Amino acid sequence: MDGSGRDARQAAPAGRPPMEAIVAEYETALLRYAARILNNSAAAQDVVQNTFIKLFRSWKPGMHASPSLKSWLYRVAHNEAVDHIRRESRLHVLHEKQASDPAVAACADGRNCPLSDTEKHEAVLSLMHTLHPREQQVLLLRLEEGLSYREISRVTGRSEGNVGNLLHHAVRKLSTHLKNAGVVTS
Amino acid sequence: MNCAASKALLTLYVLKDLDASTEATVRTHLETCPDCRAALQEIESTLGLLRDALAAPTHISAQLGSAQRARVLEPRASQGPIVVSGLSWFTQHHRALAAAAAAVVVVGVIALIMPATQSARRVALGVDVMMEESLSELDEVDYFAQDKGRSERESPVEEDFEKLAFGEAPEARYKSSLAPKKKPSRSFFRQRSGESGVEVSAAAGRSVRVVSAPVLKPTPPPVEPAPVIPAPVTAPAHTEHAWFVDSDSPDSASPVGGKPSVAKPSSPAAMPVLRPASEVSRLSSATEFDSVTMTKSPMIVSGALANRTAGRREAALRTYGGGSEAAGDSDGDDAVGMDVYYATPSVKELGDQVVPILGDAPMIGRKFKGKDVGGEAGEADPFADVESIEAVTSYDYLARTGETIELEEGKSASVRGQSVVAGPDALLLGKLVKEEQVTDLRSGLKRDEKRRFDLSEKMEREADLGQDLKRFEKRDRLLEVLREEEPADEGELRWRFTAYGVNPFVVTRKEAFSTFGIDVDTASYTLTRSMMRQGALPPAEAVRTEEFVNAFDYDHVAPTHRTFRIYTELAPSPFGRGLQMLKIGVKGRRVGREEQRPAVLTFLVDTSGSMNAPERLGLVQKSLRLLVENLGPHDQVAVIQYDSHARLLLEHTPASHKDVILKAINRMQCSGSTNLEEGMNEAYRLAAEAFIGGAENRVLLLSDGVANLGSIAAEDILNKVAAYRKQGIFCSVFGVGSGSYDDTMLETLANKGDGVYTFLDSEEQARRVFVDDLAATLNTIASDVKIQVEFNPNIVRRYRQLGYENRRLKKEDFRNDAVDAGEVGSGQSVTALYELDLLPMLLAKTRIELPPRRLATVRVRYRRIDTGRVEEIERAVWPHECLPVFEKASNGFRLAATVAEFAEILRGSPHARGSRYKDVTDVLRPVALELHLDKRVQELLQMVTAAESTPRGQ
Repeated sequence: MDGSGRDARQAAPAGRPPMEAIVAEYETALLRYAARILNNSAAAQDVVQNTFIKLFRSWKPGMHASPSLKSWLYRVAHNEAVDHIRRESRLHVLHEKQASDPAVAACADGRNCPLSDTEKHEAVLSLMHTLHPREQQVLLLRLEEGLSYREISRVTGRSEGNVGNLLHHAVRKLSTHLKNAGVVTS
Repeated sequence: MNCAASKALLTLYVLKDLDASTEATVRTHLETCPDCRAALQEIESTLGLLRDALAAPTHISAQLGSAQRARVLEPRASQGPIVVSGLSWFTQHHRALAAAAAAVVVVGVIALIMPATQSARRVALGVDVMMEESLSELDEVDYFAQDKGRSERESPVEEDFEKLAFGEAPEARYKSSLAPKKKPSRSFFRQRSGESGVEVSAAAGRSVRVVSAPVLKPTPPPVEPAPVIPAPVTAPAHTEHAWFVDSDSPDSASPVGGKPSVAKPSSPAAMPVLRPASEVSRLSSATEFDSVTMTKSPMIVSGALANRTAGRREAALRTYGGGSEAAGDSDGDDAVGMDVYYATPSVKELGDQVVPILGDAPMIGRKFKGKDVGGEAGEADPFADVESIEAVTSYDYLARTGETIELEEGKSASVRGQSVVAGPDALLLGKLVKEEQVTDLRSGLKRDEKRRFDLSEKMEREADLGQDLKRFEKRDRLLEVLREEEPADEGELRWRFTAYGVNPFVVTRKEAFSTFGIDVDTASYTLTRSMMRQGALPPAEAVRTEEFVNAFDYDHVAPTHRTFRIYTELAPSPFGRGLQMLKIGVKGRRVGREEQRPAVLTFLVDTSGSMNAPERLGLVQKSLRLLVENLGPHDQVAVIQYDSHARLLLEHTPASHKDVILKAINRMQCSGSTNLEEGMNEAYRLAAEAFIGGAENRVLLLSDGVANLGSIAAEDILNKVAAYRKQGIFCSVFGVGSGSYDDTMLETLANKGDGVYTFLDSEEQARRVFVDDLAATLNTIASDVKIQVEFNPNIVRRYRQLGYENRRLKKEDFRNDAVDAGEVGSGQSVTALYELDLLPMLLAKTRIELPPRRLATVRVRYRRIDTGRVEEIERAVWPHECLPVFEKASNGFRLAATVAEFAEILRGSPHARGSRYKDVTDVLRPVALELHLDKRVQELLQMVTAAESTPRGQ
């Protein structure tokens, strides 16, 4: 094992990734994205850390210049996040938690219960988390991260048309949820 | 664009992610559709909220924590040694072993791949080399030959080609013909023969490619030598003959040599030579040559000459004979003594080089120059598929040419350059002596072929004509028809049909793709039935094989989820000897009742004087009544009649008001001329007014097809029909009344309108169309349905599609979604048949076993009506699917084969020559027994039986 470690260290300087530059460039976006998916800032830190470590391990020279680096990072971050959720069996818990969310439940019946902007935003975000992870993924990548459809399709491995469809369905679902929750009055 | 389609795009529309044209379409749709506007608002507000929520300040940190950052930036320190995977560990620690393993793998892969690449290269070379370098030059071919033994020729390859010196006399003699030709563009053929064998060499212009090698000893010499040339000259010890073939005048092979001399290496008695020994050729450099072994084959000889009559044999012997020992006797069993070569399977010597033996110039000229004209005459060349020299064995040669050897002989001379099938003709070339002999031989050998050849040429012409017709004449013809005045006497019999020719056999290597738009019309079959009931066979051009085939149901199960399903079946063809038949069935989904869209139908009924007959207007009224009875409550019907003018009988009325509609139908009266233009204009105006998005909007024209229109008006109508089709109003055409029936125009209209074209000859047929197949008639599931079949040239030598002559598409149009093609209704099926000529197993066996290869791939591309999306599906046909005998095939397959053959005979297809109706009934009878419940099959059997004794109609 020592030998292999030595070999790796010997090889490293030649194709060593410019980690600091990459981290500086992408950490904010990835943290934001992971935190949205996980709804947990601390867990997001771990996820992003793992993402960068994975990048370091699978580094190939020339990767930095490649346009697919961004997609690659988002994809790995998403998978890490989903893994994280699975690991903690939180997917299931999450849904139940959202269903019984006091803020949403309180206003589900009374339509004259006024929501402050902050409350509204929280409700929207929590409703967004009830969507399927892949719908959240597309929604966030497009709306918050501002990725192009080509990039999203690279991240998700779906076709661009499929991404558009998914996005549309996510929005439709969300708007139904919003209506049901009384956040938006029809 | 319908509501559902644009709703799906709304999110992207709000996000401004659509391309400009789609965005414009959505925008225009939004203006008309309040429903969609509401959906848009909802999406906009949701997206707004979501954006706000995401933009709101959060507690998400913008940077990694210091611990995480440290781990990321110095992963080795915190994560421990990076694990090297097992494989890389192995390679790092046992380099030698790893290298050895890699070498073994590489060698194994190469061993697997080599055979495939070699043959591929050979094919490529064969084609490319001949095409690029020699083909263009083949019309200027010089041939030279010389006998072995010339001392100064011992190493000819080292001598300079540039110094090529003809004897004085010949040069002067042929100056005129040689002068305009550039030297490099000449091809060169040389032969040296002697007791030890024959050496053949040839050079084609700059690229000298063929070369020589010793050969087997000739087979037993002929019994007695016979002079070949009327005026033999005493021969020198060494002789050579050379000749020049002028491509411009076929059949003229002019000797280059001065005086002919007779020589024979062993006994200088009688051997044709064209000129005395002199310098004939010098080849430029040895390096330009590769070598090939040519050996003689007694089998070939006996096979090649087996059928000859005495006269022809003599002619042949005269030509061939000089090469070896002596010319043969006319009636001896001397054939074996001739120099007839075939290519030996000697891969080693051949390498990848392809050796063009330059065949006889006129033939080659015609064949190659005529590539653009008649490249598809697959029948002509038995070696069409030969890839390389080793592909032809003597056995194979006989198998290929066997029974028709005398016909094919001249052909194999032209061996397409890419293969050295040095059949008898290579020699023929090598030994041609006199012009008249050539002519003699040709006419002798080809008398039989000529007939066949004429036929195949005629077919090609017809096919070409068909192509042209397809492109141009169809419209012109229509216009011309429409331009003509309507005859005063409307009862006069007048038929309008257009002949599209018959699809020829296509050599797969030349065109592996067969592409066509589907056609679910059945009019041709119904029309034929109607005419036969009146005691006459239809004119040949009224018979369209595909419409016959599609008139029957082949028990394909409709897919439940996908739009289409492809069925294929492969079995020996019952009528084409030695051919296989491939049946392709494409079955559409059956639309469920809840999915059925409401129909908005506009009937346009021709009530001109010509329609005034019970089997015309009467039948139309009956049909309409039947249809109205079967419509759903949400469907709407409007009726317009047109004669001299168009008149609105009924505005769009819900089908629940049956009495009102029936009353309108009963009101129709016939009189006057036929103003189709006004009728169509009125019908489309009305249909556009009543247009309902998402419904089945359709104009249904019921007419006997007679119309008097100006040409401009006719074009206007066609353009209008095409324009409305794009907006969602389709046009179906129902023809009635044989006699003055204008088939061409009605079919064109239905084509343009993406509709079905059906002929109504009886109430029974009307019931079939308007009651049984109502769902299919009114519910289209897909439009622009195209089928492309890709054949594997390594398995399929050539193929022929039965029917679909006027539906052929260009290969590249398959994926061009702008190209219009037919549409398919709910649960409808389309059937296409191909006759295939597969390569003999003999060849397959000699090759290394490869993983099974597809025989063909069937692709279907279509635009779904419900989603508007273009989809493509495919299905592979494997060689092992081929059934051993025709009788094992499903009854649907056997039925389709007989129906197609019946149509082929009726339309006088050259491929059905020699077939009689009785052959069809023999095959059909057992099928009819199995399908005794299907009335259509029983009816077909009656028709075929009756066809024997029915005279051909006018």
